[in-house]
Amino acid sequence: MGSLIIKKVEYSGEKYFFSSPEFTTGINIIKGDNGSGKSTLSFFIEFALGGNIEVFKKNDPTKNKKTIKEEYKHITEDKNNFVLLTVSIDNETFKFKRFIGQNDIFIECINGNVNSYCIDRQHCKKEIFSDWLLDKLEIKKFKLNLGETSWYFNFNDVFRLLYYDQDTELRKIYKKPANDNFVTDSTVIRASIFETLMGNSSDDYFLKMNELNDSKVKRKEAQVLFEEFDKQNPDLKLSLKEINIERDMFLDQMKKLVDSRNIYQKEHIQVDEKFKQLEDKKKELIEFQILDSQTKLKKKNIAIEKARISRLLEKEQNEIESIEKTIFTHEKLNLFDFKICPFCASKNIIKEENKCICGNHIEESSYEKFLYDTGEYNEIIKHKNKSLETIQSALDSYTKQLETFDREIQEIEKNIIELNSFIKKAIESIEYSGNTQITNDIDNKIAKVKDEIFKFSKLRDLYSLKEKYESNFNKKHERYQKRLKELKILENTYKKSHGTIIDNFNIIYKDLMIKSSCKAKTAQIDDEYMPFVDDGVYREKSARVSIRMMYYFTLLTMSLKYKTIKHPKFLLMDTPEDAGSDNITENIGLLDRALELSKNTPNEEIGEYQYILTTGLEKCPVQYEKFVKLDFNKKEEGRYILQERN
Amino acid sequence: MNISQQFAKKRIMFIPTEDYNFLAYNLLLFLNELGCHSEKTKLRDFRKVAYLIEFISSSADLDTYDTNDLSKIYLRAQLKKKLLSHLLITLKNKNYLDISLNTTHKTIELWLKKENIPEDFFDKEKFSRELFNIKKLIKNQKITKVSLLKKMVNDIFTTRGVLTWEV
Repeated sequence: MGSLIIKKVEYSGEKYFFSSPEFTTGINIIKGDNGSGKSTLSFFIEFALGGNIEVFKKNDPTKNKKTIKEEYKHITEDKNNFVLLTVSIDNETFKFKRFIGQNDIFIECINGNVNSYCIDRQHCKKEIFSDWLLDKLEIKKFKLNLGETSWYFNFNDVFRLLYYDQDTELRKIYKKPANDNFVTDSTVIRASIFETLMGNSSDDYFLKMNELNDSKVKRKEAQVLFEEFDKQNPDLKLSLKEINIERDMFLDQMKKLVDSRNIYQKEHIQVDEKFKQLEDKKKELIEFQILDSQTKLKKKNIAIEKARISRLLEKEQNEIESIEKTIFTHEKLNLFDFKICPFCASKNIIKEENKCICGNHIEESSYEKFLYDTGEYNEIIKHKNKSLETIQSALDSYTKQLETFDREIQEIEKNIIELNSFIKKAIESIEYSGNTQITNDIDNKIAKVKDEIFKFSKLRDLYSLKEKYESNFNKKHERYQKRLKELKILENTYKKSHGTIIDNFNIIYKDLMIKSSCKAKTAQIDDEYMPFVDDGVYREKSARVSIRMMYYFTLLTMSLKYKTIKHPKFLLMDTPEDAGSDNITENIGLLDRALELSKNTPNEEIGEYQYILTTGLEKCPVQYEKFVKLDFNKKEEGRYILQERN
Repeated sequence: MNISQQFAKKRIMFIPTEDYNFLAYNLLLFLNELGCHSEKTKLRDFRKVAYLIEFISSSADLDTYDTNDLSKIYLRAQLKKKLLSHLLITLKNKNYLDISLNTTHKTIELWLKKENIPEDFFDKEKFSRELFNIKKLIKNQKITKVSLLKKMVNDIFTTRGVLTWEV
């Protein structure tokens, strides 16, 4: 499993700088008097690992004075300052660089590649620094859903059991979280941190737990939807199937009604016969109307013809009259008697045969202008009278024809009137006697059934919706149940293996506690993984240092002893003696015992780990003097962690 | 050509309105009605009669004629002028009327010599139609002994859409 080794801690600002010596695996001790900067070193480490160091933050001048907190002026007033931490994770070296007041960490790999990572998850959608680090340490990150809020497991949470700090109340054991609130320091979260560090199957368990929570939320949503729908439609007591059956029934009924209407209409074919008869009459009427107009047209033509003949007759009659008057004139005046020349009035007419008056030769047949005597005029009148007779007979025939047409037209018109009145009466009788009552009845029934079908269609939609919500809920519920079952199985196996781990933890813890300065008779951890010493009998306040320290040592031991433990085999302790324990040196020395306990067999070598301890000048066990890497002495020798630049 | 054939031709060629006797009685009736009984009351232009004869013998109601009819009457009037001029010679030779030439107007003027015409010729009953028409024409068309031919032709034909070219 992953291990974390701090190799070097550096600080660089415009005013101050600090560079630690090379830290190694195993024990690293930083000695120093109060105020010489032992805690500063811890702060640097925590800060560079993404921690939230309050004293490195500048006070906001706009904020209320009551909120003003301690401020590490040397750091906050320095400029362009950063912490550079060289670490080794599973023998791979990285450099973490974080500027003071900034929330990004630059990770430099051994090959020189530099990547920037956010610290705060809230402001970053990408992988954050903690994700990267946990990944390297092979600790699965997970999300816990706690009621309304979600909590992401971060490296900072792991760090709470890697860093024995000074600020935390001793009996709380776990270093207080950066954002101390009821969620972050809740029992659930503390327990998850412990369980995560103890590894085993907890990752899977939590993942499953998350899945379960997720499906619980989804089931809840589906349930709310379903219940809300039910509340709004409280009358849906039937099932979709029943509704469909009823709807089908009405559809069937409708079909039958439509059929019976059609059958009725077909049966009452006499209506159609009436129509057929009517159609025949209509045809007849049209024929008569055509004949009527044809006859009238013929009559009109004949009338025109008759008028013409009539005019001709009049003209001929007039002409005959004129000829009669001509004869009269001829007889009275005797203008051309051929006894006197019509031009010179000479009585001696010497008219030669075939000669004109002008003396030119002319055949009588070639004459263009004739003179007629009374006999000839009468002859002409006779002829005229003959043709007059012909004209008169033609006129008479036209008159007769016209009379015939008139009679025909009269007859046709009579027929048309009769047909019209017949058709009108027939239509009226059809309208009146048509069996509309029966079809109306059926139509009304159909309309009612249609309404029912519509109603049931609507209901069907509602029921479909209900069924959808219901099935959705059921599906979600099934899923939830399945996951719950899976979780239970996981939980059982987890608890089983976890139980063994707890047992092992308790053995080590008890061993260390008995040997510690508080001289406990018995010690173990309770269900919430909190120490339970001497069956709850009150112990003096100083005993709390031992209780907490041994807890941290036990964790380290566990990580060295069992391969499945996720603890990164790193322990940082900042001045544990300050709580007032008189025999802190003895307690520190128990690390040897803890390391001894990590061996599975007496000859087994102790695994790789790192223990960084800052302590007062006189508190370091003699056998540990060789592990002192830094020796601050501010008061007497002025050796302070931050060195001013020249 | 035998006689019947000859007569057949004469009969066919007979045009009542162009017969000399027909023209004669219409002319004499017109002159008589107009009162042209002496040189003093002579008719100024005989050609007016040529245009009026068909109206006199059939109908004086000009509205009963269409343009086509009037046009035919106008055309036939041209022939009638020639026929009338021949007739005038005969009538003068028979002493039924007298003729004078008006050199100013270049017209033939004429008047009846009623004393030479048989008394029973002006039979009011026989010529009732003609007399009725003549009176109507004189009244409606304001025809007088001296009225101008040009004006009369214009009034009767041109204003009714007939293309006229000679007076």
